[in-house]
Amino acid sequence: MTTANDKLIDAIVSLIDGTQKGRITWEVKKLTPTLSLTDPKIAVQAVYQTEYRGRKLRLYEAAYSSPTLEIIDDDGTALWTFPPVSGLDDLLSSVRYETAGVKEFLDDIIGEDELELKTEEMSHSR
Amino acid sequence: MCFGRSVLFEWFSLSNVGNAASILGVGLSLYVIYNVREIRKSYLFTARAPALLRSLHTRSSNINDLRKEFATSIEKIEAELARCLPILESLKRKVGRQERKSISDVVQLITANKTLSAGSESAVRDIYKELIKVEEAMRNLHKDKQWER
Repeated sequence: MTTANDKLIDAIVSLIDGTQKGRITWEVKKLTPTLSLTDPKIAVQAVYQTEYRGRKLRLYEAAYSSPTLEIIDDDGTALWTFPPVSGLDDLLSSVRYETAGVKEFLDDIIGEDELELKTEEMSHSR
Repeated sequence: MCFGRSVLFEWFSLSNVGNAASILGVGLSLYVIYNVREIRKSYLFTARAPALLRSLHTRSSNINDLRKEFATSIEKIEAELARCLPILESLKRKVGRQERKSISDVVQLITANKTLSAGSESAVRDIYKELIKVEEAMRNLHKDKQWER
């Protein structure tokens, strides 16, 4: 029997898959830090946004709490917040990995190293 | 009427009452054994669930991270899946029948995919999904158990 939580997890795993395979592209919106001592969002440094199937999604992590995923309108007002189910932190990790371009960066470093090794080998063989 | 009353009176002989008490005693003992087992399981689950769930979460997050580079991470994913099995088995011994079934399903899924290949990406996705469903169910059960005490 599929429960409401199972459905939410299915949706989150689909978002993770879409993000990892590049079907969903997230953009980083940087927040200017506020000076409020009561606002829990004070420690939110980056908010990730995407548009998926006609809906705008916003993902962020406030201090001392689990990541928050929301459906928002054009003005950025939260229309619905996903309950804090398991998998949201994995979604955030995947989004950070993709938006920071970690894969490309690692490929670049490895590619550069291989190129250096090849040129060294060629110079030794001469 | 009088006949019925005398038959009933005759039945209440010492041996018959003793027999009935023995049968009732066996029933009560079984009930107590069952309850003690359930209390023990519940106590163990409440005490051990947070650590086990943390371990399971680390494993499932690692699997998710490794899925990003699936082709080059097959061996590492196999190792992470193998690490999930004892955690799941341990959780299984501490929960009720309903939860045990969902854990058994994931264990079966992992056992069926012990050796992965380049084409196992969707199988790993399904396992990951089931792992976080189990994790969520166990987390909710743990919250419920806090109120039972």
